[in-house]
Amino acid sequence: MNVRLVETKGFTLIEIMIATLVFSVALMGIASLAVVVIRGNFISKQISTATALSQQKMEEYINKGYSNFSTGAVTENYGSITAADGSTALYSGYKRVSVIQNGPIANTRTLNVSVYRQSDNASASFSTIIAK
Amino acid sequence: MVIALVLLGSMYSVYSSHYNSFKVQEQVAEAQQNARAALQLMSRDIIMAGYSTATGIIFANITSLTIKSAATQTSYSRYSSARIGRSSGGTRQAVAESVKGISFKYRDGAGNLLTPDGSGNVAVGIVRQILVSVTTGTPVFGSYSASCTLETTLSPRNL
Repeated sequence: MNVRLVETKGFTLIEIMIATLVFSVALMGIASLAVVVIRGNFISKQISTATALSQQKMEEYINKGYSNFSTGAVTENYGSITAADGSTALYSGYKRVSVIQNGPIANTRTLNVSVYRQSDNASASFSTIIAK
Repeated sequence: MVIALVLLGSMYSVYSSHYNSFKVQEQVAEAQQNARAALQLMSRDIIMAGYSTATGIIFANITSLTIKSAATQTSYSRYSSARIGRSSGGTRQAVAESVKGISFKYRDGAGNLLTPDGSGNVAVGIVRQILVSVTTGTPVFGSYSASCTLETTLSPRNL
């Protein structure tokens, strides 16, 4: 009889504190998920920017035409890629390397543009062939 | 009671940070779409400059451009501070919203960038290529602003 009475009293403070602890662990899991998602969004924005930068360079070479550029490598280091308004702050975290080689067959050149990110040194790389 | 309040508060803060991040991403996507759509519309017009007419470029400035294709004159410029306007046949229509900047650069036949004069104009006769750059975006939360810059090079084949 006595035992039954104790059981119907509800939760003890200790039990509630343990439950809270378990629940807050789950909440922390969700919070850390947010951190991962935000970091992922940031990286995807960097990849978009890197892709736009390399696309812009490739268009520049394609529009110049075969006879207006020569083979070799051009490196635009961190802080030297200028935006349309003339500032270098916007793309200061990006490095762009354009490599032009002869081939794969006669009268063609292979253009490879890689854009590196300063934060993790990862790169977005694109290549195309320009004919004479 | 106090424990429950603390829990509720932390649940709300987790939710609101997720919501903010979602809103920011929405704005980023919108900025990218705006820039892409504007650039595509402009490319389609500008690439036709000089078709069936003697002078393909009527006015070339670092912030605005007027081209001519057959008998139609079309001009692009920024107006109302945050829009790109397309004027064709006398009426001006907005082609892009929340625009932070639009700029034009020009190249001659040898691929050299043309230097604009004091008022930003370049000599229209020697323009062979047009570099269009569009920056879109809006301030979102506090210091964070979603923005997107896209640039393209156009070579109208009739110039």
